[in-house]
Amino acid sequence: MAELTAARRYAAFKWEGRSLFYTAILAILILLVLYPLGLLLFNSFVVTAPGGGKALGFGNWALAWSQPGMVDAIANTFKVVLVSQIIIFPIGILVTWLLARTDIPGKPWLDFFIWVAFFLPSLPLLLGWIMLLDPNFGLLNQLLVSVFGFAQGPFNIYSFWGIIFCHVVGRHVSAMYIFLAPAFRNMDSSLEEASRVSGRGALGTLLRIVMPVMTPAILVTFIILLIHALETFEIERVLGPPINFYVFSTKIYQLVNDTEPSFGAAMVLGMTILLFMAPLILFQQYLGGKRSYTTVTGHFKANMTRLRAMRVPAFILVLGFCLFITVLPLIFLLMGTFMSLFGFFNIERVWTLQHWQKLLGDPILLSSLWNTLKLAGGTAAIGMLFYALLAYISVRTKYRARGALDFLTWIPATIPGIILGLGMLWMFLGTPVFRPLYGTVFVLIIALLINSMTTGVQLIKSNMVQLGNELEEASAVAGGSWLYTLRRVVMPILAPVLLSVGTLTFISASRNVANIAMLVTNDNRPLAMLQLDYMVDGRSEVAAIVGIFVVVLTIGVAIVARLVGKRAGIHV
Amino acid sequence: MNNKKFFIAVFSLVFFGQAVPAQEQTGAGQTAWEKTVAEAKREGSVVVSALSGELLRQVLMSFEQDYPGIQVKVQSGNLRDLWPLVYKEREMGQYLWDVRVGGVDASTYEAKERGLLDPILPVLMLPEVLDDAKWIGGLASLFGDKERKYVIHISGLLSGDIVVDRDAVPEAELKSPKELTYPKWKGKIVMQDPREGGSGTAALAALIQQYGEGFVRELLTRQNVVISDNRRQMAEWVVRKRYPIAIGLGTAGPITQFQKEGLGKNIKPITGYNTIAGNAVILFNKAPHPNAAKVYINWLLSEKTQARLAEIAKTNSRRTDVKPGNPDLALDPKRFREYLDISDEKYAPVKLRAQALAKELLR
Repeated sequence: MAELTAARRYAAFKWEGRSLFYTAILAILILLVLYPLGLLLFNSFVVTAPGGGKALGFGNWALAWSQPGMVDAIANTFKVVLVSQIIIFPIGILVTWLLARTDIPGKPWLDFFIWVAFFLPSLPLLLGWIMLLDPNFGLLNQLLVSVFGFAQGPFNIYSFWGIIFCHVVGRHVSAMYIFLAPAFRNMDSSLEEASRVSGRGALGTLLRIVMPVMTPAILVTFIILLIHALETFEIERVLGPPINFYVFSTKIYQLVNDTEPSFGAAMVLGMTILLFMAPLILFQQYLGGKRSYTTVTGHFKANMTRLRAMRVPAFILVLGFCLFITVLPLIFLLMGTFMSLFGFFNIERVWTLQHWQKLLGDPILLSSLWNTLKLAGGTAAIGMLFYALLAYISVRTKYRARGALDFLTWIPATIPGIILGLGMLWMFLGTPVFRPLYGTVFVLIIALLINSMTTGVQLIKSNMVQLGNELEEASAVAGGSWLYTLRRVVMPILAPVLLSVGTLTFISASRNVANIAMLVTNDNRPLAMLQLDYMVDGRSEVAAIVGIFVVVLTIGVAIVARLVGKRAGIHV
Repeated sequence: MNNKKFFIAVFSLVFFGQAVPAQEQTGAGQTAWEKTVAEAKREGSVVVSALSGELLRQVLMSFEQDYPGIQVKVQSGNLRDLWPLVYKEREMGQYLWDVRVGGVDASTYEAKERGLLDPILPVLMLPEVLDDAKWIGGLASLFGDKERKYVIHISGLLSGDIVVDRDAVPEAELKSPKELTYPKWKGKIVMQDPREGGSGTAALAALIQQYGEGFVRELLTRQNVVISDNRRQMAEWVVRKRYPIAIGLGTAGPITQFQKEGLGKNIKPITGYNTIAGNAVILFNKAPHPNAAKVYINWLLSEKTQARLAEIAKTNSRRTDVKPGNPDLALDPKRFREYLDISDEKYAPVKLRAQALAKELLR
């Protein structure tokens, strides 16, 4: 009896200890996310009074919503998001399913192509598509005019459908694959086998079995891509002006790029994205808690669906798509760096090495590379652990505030980078305990960690929900310690998604300018700032080379991570 | 006392209420300068906020070659990011910046009004910098603020803000900016986003100043002006004749890259529009490295550095003894008084009005 009481006390103590730990993590999250955003939100109600003083009011809210062209911008945003997602989503799911769940040949290479497509810098690629599809001087249009005698080229990239095309061949499909593939691979093939035994074909199995089981991962991917689509406008920024086509995020950009930036009003628009997304986020939480999506159990089977006669056509289809979104843009990208002026073939000196010489001769290239490696590497390494911890608390514990914790991880994705950077600045300067850290790499890493938090946590989470408890229980029964179970049972299953998250965090941190623009110093300038310098000078070709450095750096880090994973006995 | 010394003494008396001791410009001046350099070396570094741009950064960093022992920490960025940072830092008692080099807009003058800047004239020490004859329009004309002591221009070129591809639009068809509202130019004009400050705003302000608000209203509402914030894209559009008229692009920067390769040779600034553009220097008060900042500012205004800026960054110095980096846009000393310096504080309200109009009329 006494032993039983002692055991209960010990269990209660352990439980309280865990709760305290989770609460400490929640407190850190509140501090890192809610505190700076609270400052920003409060500031959105601070207006300049006529006398020059500060007062509370709704001026920023009125300013945000009275932007000229706001109604058109919102309508355009919905049009672009709706049409592009209708095209991208089926392609993304099909490609993911083919690569993750079938016996399609050449998987490692196709997988590599898609990852590379995700790493490619978007602006040089966009310039490449313009070089091909510009209505007047596009190479493809010129070719078609000369071969078929058209009066003018049939393609016009400066159009609504041109914008949609660029979204489709951009990094959305590869992002979907990267987000979904680990979860697809963790699916128990006995479900598909049962479907086939019941007489369903491969496509029927995909639609009726695979997709419903993958709902949490698909929904998370959908929400992340939706938020991303609502926030980014690189394509519209270049292709939109000639047709007067602006989107919601253009309005946020205009507010913060004003000579007197209206951060408060931009914050209001950012909050709108959060409010708009809140029902979807809550629905995703509800769905995750309501049904069990466990697919990795003690009976887990990882057999692939046999495509049989469709194997070669499916391979050609995916390979063709991969070449279209990877090799073709890579050719543009590389070619552009060796051209005196990207896209101009009618000049005397078409090819040159001067852009490479220019960059390689830049005295701060090496320090920028090193800073990027430190920053992005640090962010990725800490991110994998921190995001995994947050996902673990959300999915695999009974901690009462886990829903709130999960909701907090969604917030950073909805707030524009520069606004979040400002919030971080206020937090680090405004809180005495943090002030000594201001100006250090640590601050940048925190800013970048917060920036990638939504994607990182949600991706790991969508894979964790698939993991059955019985695997850990079986290991424990067989005498495996908690650490042994983690290393030999949980990690090998989660390793692919952790590596994906690490690589995504690395590339995102390497490219990020908005979040760190106000926090970076001369001592920790990364490559992204060097790239910005070249862009400002109008030297797109040199800036593209900096983009290539980032891609090579990321691929190198991903390969090293894989090798290290393999040495540790984790196959990724 | 010769004329030059007399001018400096009077100038200092008028604007700062104190006369600069004459001996500082002669033998003892040398000692004072050496003392300042020695102090600067003790401080070890100077923190410079600069306009983004690799070429400008390259020149600003070259200070270390001329003054070994004083490290330059150049942090590139735009004014949008700088001021919220500096205001917050100061609120928290942090004084981290010495000097800013870059364009000037209303936010710079606001910072001055809020007491963030120190006057620059007292820190000018080198005789070659203080020599009035070395500057087009004289030393006093370099200052852009109404007090004529806080914002000093280090470069000046005819902004040529409005450029036209004369192969597509012959001179006879478009002689003056006033004709930009003619219906035949509808859909032919691209403009740097005037809501964001910079040359787009400056060009629009100059048009308001020259032709009135009604003209600008007509231009922005009737001419289907395409707005871009990407100067390289704008330059390419002009070169390819997609939009043969560009407002806020200028003939420096990206256009020169095309012209170097033999393209757009006939892209010229429109005549009848003589505004000045250029970068300026400001000195933050309570600078953490006051002596290094002094040395840096004098170095920036010296003939050697100005020549380097002209050679590498293709800017035009306001110095009379430095060859222009962009001769097509060189200021004519004889016509100096005719130019419209739209970055001057007295035009700040016009610029603000231009931005307000753009925000109202553009989508």
